[in-house]
Amino acid sequence: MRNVLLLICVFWLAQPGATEYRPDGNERWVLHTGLPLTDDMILLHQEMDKGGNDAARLQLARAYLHGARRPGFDDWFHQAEQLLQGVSANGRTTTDYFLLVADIQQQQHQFVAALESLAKVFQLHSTHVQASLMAARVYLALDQLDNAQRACGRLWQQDLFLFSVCQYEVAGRRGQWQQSYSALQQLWQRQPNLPVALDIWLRGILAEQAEQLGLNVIAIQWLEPVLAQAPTSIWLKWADLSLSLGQGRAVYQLLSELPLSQLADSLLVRLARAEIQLGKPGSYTETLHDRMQVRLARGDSEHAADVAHYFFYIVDDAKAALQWAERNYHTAKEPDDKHLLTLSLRALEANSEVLE
Amino acid sequence: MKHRLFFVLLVLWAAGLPAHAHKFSTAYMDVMQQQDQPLLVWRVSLHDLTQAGALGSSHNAELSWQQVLNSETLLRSYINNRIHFTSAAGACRITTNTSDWRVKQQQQLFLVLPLQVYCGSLSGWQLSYQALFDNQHNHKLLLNWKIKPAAANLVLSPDKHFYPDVI
Repeated sequence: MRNVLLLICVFWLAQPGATEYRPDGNERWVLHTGLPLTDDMILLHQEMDKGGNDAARLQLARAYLHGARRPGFDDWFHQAEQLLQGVSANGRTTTDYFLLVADIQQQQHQFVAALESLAKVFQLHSTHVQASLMAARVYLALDQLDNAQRACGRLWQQDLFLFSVCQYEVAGRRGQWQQSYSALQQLWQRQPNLPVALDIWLRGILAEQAEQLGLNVIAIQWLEPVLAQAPTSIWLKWADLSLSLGQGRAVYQLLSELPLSQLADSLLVRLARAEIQLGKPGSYTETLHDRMQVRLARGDSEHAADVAHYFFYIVDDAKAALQWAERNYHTAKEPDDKHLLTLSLRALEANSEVLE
Repeated sequence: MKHRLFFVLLVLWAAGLPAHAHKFSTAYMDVMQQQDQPLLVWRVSLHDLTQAGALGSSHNAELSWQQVLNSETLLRSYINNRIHFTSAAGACRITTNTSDWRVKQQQQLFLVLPLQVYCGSLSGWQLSYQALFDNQHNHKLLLNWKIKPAAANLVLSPDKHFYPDVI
């Protein structure tokens, strides 16, 4: 019944109104502010325009998928998907193809499907480094720590550094936060010239572990130096930590620089929260209300954490927040997902006590 | 340290970080009856249509109204391949007239397309919608079917792409 009411509400909002018009022939719109292609991507596009082979297509898809993780670059995710759809039957049996498909699946929270794609990589290369790391990540998302550890174990003879980081991340999730944090810190200090991608990865884990130890200020310090190059997931962690410390201004300043149309719901929730924290007029909050009404009407269950955040922090509806946090926890079981569930449950219990 | 190739690092970065939600693609459609024939009004994001290649190049960051009008043939073909309407007499014909086209600002810019439908029968009307599913993995249509007795608000998706269920 609630969904039907929401649909009616969304349809009412979507009815032709004052903003529907017949444009002038010269009217132009910016559909998205230019997402700058790298030189490599331009060359690959040129190769594709000449007919391109699977190798070029897969390489370009990988570049798009990598770029899609940056804030505001969500559209590239769909570009990657489209490129993969054009891969030939032969190309669909390659390690690169399975890896990219697995990555898309895990981004869509289709974790079981992602593991099946990774299993095909392991049939070809039993100790494949990237597949092992991705498998460990998927198992961590599912809170299957023994399996995550086994996935890390595949790295033992391939790359000792990656193996160690992977193992310490799993150990942290087992509750050994202090030992893992100290060990990872030492590991990081011994590697002053880490490539950016590795540095961001390691800092992300260190920030999570610092947060679990109650060191939120330090956790922010791990992330801030790499924010400009970091993916959205790191921005979300940084924003949550900052908001928890009442630093809404920093969050507002950074996130409001992104074009609103390119801002993913997850980032918009944090921006609206910052707006509320700063007592600013609620323009981002209004946009978020509209987007969430559409999300609810669509009946999506994937990435339910955005909706749980919305109900918990923006609407202050503990019951709905718990419902969505539970739905989210059904698919994703990382510490943040568990934290959201606990917060919602506590809020609902507190509300019940007040009513009694 | 033997982190050899740059592309390995790219994949590594992708492998080791949690996922986050991408943007959700939504279109709207009203289905009503006008002079004994169905009339559809499809509101679809210009951005999504561009990405689908239905308005020419999918790489356009900018678009003019004239370009939209110039894409009439391409867009008609896109619609006829992906939106189908049937009646008890079989497939119905769908047309659209550029003079009816409008735009609407609704969080993002939407193209408002009235689609005139010509069916051989007044009964057994059914819509089948498969637009944008192939290039927007999360695309959904919020359908407002206003024709009784099947009047309803519902969601069409790749798993459930037609309405009503039974003709």
